[in-house]
Amino acid sequence: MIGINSIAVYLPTESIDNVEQGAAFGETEDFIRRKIGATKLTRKAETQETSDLAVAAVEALTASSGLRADQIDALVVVTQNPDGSGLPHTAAIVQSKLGLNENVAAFDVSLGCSGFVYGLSILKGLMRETGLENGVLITADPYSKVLDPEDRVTSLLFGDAATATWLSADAAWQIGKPLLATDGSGADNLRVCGGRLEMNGRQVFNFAALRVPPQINALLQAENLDPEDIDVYCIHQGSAAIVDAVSRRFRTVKDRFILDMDETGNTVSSTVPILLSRFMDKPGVSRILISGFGVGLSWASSILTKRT
Amino acid sequence: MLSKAQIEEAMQNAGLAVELPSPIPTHTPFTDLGLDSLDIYNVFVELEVLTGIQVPDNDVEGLQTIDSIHDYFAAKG
Repeated sequence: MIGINSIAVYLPTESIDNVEQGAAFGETEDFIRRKIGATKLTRKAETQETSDLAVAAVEALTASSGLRADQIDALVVVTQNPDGSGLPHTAAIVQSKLGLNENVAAFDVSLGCSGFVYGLSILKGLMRETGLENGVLITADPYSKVLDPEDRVTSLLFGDAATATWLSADAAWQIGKPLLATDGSGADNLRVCGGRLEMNGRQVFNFAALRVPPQINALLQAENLDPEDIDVYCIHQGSAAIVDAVSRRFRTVKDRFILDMDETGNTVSSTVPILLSRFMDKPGVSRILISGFGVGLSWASSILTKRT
Repeated sequence: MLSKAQIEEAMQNAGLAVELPSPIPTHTPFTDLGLDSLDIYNVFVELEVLTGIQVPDNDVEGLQTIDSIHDYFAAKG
């Protein structure tokens, strides 16, 4: 069974002090800490392209796991802020920069915050169908490319990051059947217009608070599980307020919902794999629910189970 | 019809970071009670869960007290 073997994270060394930035927008430190949830927002260097972040994440993966670059035969990049204008696809650029051989299936997936959960099932399905053995799912969506520093709604939220997840047979973590959903009628609530990110904060908040908990409940029901059967809930770190709004619907296990974005901010499709990299090896953790939600509007949830 | 007690209960369930007085004065603007913009989002999420009615963004701006929310939902029937 194809599953997750290992995850590596690349965080740019540069960052913004979000408390200072918040003060410039008239927000208190308490608001930044308790509602936004990030006192630091990571930022890629001006000269770094999306593919550079992706390459750094894959290099971190090969350095920290048993995977060699020459073993990679599938490469998927989840991004909506690709190199250049997205033509050619960033995955091809990453393949070249990493010096991978030509027998690599490489393509981009255009999804935002739900992208990691979608990407797992896309890559797993591709590998199962084609017999490819070592797939790498990359998330690299640097919103700093499209942020307007004068926009209070978006500037306080987003950070840059990239992750690389190694999928192979006989892996430690099995990927459950996901629930995937879309509501394009809400597309205008989070979009890039004229090169600038625009967000209707209230509508995105409402979407997360009202649509994600039912999907999590439906997934638990489909898997015949109770909320208490999940050890850790790694949901998209949209903001501290969003994690709180979703977790509040699960009163008995609210403290199992992880909030861990203080040093990065909302890194879009990278938030879930960043959490997984920190929590999947913890003792006593054998079942993790993951959920990503945002741009589209799109939302997706799945359960990861540790092989015994 | 949504009662003022239900609105107060929705506020209590909204996970607000501020300590609310009990009872909550129905005519006091939410910002004077210490609610920030995200707290107000949460209140309207609870109200939507309760009533199934989505309040448009433009209307929310004018709904900043329990009294005004009560009147708004009363007019909706």
